[in-house]
Amino acid sequence: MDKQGTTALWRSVESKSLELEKSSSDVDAGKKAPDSTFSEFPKQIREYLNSHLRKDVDRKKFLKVMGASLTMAAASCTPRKIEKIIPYISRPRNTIPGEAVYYASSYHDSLQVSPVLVKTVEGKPRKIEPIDDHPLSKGGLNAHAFATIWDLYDPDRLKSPRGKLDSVFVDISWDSVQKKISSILESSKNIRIISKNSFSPVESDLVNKFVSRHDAKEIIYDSVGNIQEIQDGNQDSYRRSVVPYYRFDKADIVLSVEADFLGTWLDSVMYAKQYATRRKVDSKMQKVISVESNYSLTGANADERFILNPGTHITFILGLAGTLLSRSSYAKNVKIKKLLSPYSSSFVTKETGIASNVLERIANSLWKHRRRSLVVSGGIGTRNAHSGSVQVATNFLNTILENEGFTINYNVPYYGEFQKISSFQEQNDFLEELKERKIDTLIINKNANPFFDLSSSIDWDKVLKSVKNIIYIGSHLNETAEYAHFVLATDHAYESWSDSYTQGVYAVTQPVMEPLYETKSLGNIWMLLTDLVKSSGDTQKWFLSYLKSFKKSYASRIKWENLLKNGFYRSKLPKYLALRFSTSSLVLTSKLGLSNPKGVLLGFYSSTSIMDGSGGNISFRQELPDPITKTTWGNYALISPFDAKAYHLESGDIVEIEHNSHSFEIPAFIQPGLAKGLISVAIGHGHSSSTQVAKDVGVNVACFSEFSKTGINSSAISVKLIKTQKRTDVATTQLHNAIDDTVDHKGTQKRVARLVQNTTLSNYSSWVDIKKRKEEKIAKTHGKGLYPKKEYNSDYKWGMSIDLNACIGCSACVVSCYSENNIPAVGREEVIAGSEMSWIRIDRYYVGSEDEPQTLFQPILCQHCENAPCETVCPVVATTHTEDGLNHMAYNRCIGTRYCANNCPFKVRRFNWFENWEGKVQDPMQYALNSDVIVRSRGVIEKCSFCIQRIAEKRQKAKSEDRIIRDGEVKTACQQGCPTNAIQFGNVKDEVSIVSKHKKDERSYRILDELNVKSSIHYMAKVRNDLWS
Amino acid sequence: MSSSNVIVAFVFVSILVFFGWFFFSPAPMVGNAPVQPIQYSHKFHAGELDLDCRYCHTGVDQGKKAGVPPVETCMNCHSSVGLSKPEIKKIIKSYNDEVPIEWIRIHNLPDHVRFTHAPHIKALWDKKGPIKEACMACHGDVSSMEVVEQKESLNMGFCIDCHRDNVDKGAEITCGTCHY
Repeated sequence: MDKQGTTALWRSVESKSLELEKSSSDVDAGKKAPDSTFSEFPKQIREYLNSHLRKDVDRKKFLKVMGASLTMAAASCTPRKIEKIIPYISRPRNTIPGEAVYYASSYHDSLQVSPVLVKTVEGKPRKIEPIDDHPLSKGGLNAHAFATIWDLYDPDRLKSPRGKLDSVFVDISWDSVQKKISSILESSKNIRIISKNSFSPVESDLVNKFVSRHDAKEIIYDSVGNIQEIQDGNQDSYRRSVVPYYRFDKADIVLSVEADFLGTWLDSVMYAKQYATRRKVDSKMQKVISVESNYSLTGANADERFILNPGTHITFILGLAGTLLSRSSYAKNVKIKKLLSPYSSSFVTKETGIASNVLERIANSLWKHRRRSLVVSGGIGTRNAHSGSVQVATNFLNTILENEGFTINYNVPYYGEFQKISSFQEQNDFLEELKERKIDTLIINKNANPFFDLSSSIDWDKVLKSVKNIIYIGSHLNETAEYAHFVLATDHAYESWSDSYTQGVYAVTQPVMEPLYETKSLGNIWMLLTDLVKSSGDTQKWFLSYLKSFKKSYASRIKWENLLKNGFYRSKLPKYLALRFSTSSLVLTSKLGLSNPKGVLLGFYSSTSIMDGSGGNISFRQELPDPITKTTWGNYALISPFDAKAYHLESGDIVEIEHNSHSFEIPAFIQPGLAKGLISVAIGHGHSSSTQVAKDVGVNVACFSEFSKTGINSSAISVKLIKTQKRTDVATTQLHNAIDDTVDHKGTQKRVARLVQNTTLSNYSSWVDIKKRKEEKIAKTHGKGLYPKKEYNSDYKWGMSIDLNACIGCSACVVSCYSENNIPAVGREEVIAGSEMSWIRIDRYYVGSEDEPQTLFQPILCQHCENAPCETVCPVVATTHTEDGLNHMAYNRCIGTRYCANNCPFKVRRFNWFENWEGKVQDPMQYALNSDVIVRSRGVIEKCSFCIQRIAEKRQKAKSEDRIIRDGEVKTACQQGCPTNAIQFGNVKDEVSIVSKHKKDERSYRILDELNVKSSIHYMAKVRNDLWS
Repeated sequence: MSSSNVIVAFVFVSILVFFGWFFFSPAPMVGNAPVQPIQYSHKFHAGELDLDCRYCHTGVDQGKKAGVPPVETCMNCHSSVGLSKPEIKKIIKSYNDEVPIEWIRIHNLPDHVRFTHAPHIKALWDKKGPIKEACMACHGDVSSMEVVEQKESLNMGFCIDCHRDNVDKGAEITCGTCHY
């Protein structure tokens, strides 16, 4: 931070020198950037357009065709196409045609449970919204949950059960498939079921019934490792193989070792909510320390982030434990003392790369806040050859700090009460059985995809071909399903009954529509397989009555109707039972920490957009930029700037990564802040199955992890990196629509540096003073302006506040906006050309050196300026200012000059270069479109409307009730999407509204205020907690 | 006449015809009265029987759409009235076979326009007379029509005229009121 109260920000390694040079030198600031790095269009736009336009049409031909079309237009003055109105036979009670009906439900997959409110219009789900009074997530959802609506209407979904005839799938009826399968099951001796872990007690119960009836065995695996690492570690340390309920809101200090608890780790939405409650700028502000080798969302938001050498997690944690041992209740334990004696601070520093004074500082703060601190570790980036070993070390540290029962609760676990993930020994036995052809029937449960997710230590192709009968149960035909003999098509969660249970909250998943296709719910299918249902008639009814009685064991005190209405039931918290740490578990872990992997190491991470890859067929998820790398459509080999120099690599160079005779090619991407020696690659990409979107996007690397009977190493795999001569374009959005740093009204201001205002807790009061003085100075420079001052005569003036202290950059708002406003996904090529259509984007800035940068996030959407530069340049007055303060866009007026986009200092206007919807929507994708928002056509500019359709709806409602809209009644889609309540929307004319209060907050500021555009969005500065108290 | 004069005259006449057509021709949809699958008489039901419009168009004062009634609504009376008439037989068949009747839309706004019925009904209806007084402003006197036809152009000028007259009652004339 300099004397002006600003910090130098940069966006990428490639643009860093340019950006920092500019903001540090006042003299050069007036000059234009030398090339089009920051221009509205990327350099290659001309070639790109040429390649997409029809080459056979030259100018003469164009005129001919145009002449003909004019004649035809004149001749076609016939009445409009006949439209039909098809009413119900009998309308459901309490529905008004065209009005939305909301159903509380819960969506669950192997990663987490999302409490959702499904908005349905005329019987079809249209949008996923959060449940605000849910006791755990408290009205938050992640990008993954918002995207489930597109999964429902995915044209690639399985539409009926299938059977294989001469190695080709053919559709068959449920009756015949049931008969065939039951005869197979009767004659099978060795039945195995492979599943991913599940949060549904009823589905798990039905599988167990099948298992006991057919003497089968179920193998449950974890595709990411979030749960299994913790479960196995807790089994060793406490003899309790569950994942606890973490309370980040109760911790004064949080230490995260590689656990991305704000992004992809366990119940990240709830953790984000808890985290946000402790970000208020006061003496009770939480301190978050992140120690990691990959650059995660948690690392980006942490108050301090330290880079750990890859694969040295245990060494670091035990190093901390060793430092604290003498003060703890274990001080006199000779056995432990001996185990930890090699972890001297010099050894730990040498191995982990964390300085000894840092280690000392972290240890002291943790100790000072014992019982109010929390140490977490885990995720795919810590999986090593001994599953749970990192968790054992973490457990020991938490035990020393006496955190159990305070910030960690084992009584209402996140996972593990009704189901356990199979140990690696069991998984290994299963693989051995497969290899030895001992299994005659293999059932693949609920979209499980071992071929894609698990290691290639066995030849899946050969092994799966040798199994006599494979029955696949799922919604999409994935890689493993291609080998099945029978495919049982499942409903989507919004078409079927199910339930979920986590952290003491039981929820029912209820169908909100009739199944689109000939599919059945998972519970139903297992009832059929177990012969619990004799008749093949209305099996749905049978399952529903089973679920109703089953519910009693989890939620006996609530009526079924109320459970459906609320969507959840929280039982009373049981009394806390203390756990005893078993010191013997530390024996193995303390040995592992002594020998750490060296050299070039390959590690995996799961990205916020794709996760484990099971939802990869949704184009919106593929197009969602990763919060840190800002890459879309595929995965990259992330490499530190230090290593990139050593290998002479630039982002986009294709490298070959070699490991034990396997190798794969992947484009490199320079990621500042990554640990030296680490190559980090996202999992979940590189599908080879027949799904349209996900096929051949990126590379599947999960098969490179080293599987053994004790664990799976996916954090530090020794590999060889070879640079090839090939190059490819990187589909990254980090320099697209960048706010221009070169133009200024005086030419001397440092624009970008003031965009994301940030300070530290220790500097906070002096920062506030500087900020006030600057604002006064800027206010003085504002003249009267060319245009008359805008009067707002309406009852409303809409405004927004965005708290950068709460914003974690998770991008849930972006997906929620896509879904609400019918924004198209444009595909990899067009992202490279810079024509992605997102109305809200999260700008990511780095501060500091390339090796250890801090990260700042800033959501940028249309600022709805009072003196909007776009409005004055539109030649056809398509964009105007409304009485209630919106910068409004009339699409049918727009003729596509793009003057507005050019004149917008925030670069939030998007041009439809191509027809993005017309002719591209496959049935039934049209149902995912919001009928309240227009679908824009080619040649039109579009941008954030502040969800004008939602304002209109509430305004009309208020009008019919003779009142004005209440504060909090209108919620924009991005506001609803935000799991940390960083975005608030409301009426600025109302003095007591939340936005009015935020506007007056001392952290509040407007971006590019020196231009006197008077934006309607107030940002609140980010404050990092730098105090070590 | 030289050829240049012919061209000038031709262009002049074309322009005259174009502007005449543009400004003075009736809106294309006025008078549109398609033959519906059921010969339903508004004149009889809404006129002679004086049924409230909302008996069938239930959502009109609550939401966006007026809505066409489900055939169940017809069956409230026609399960016992007029059973022998051919049109009623069609209704009963539709109800029993569960095949909805496909009505032809008459009042159809262009794309890019949003219209919500409820606030308009509220603004136009003083609650003293029957609700049809409010409906008439845009739909004409439907209760006197044997076959429903479009009476007003429903184009932008038609909307704006009324909104301008009612600004004091809260009608708005910014683009964002209807175009979003």
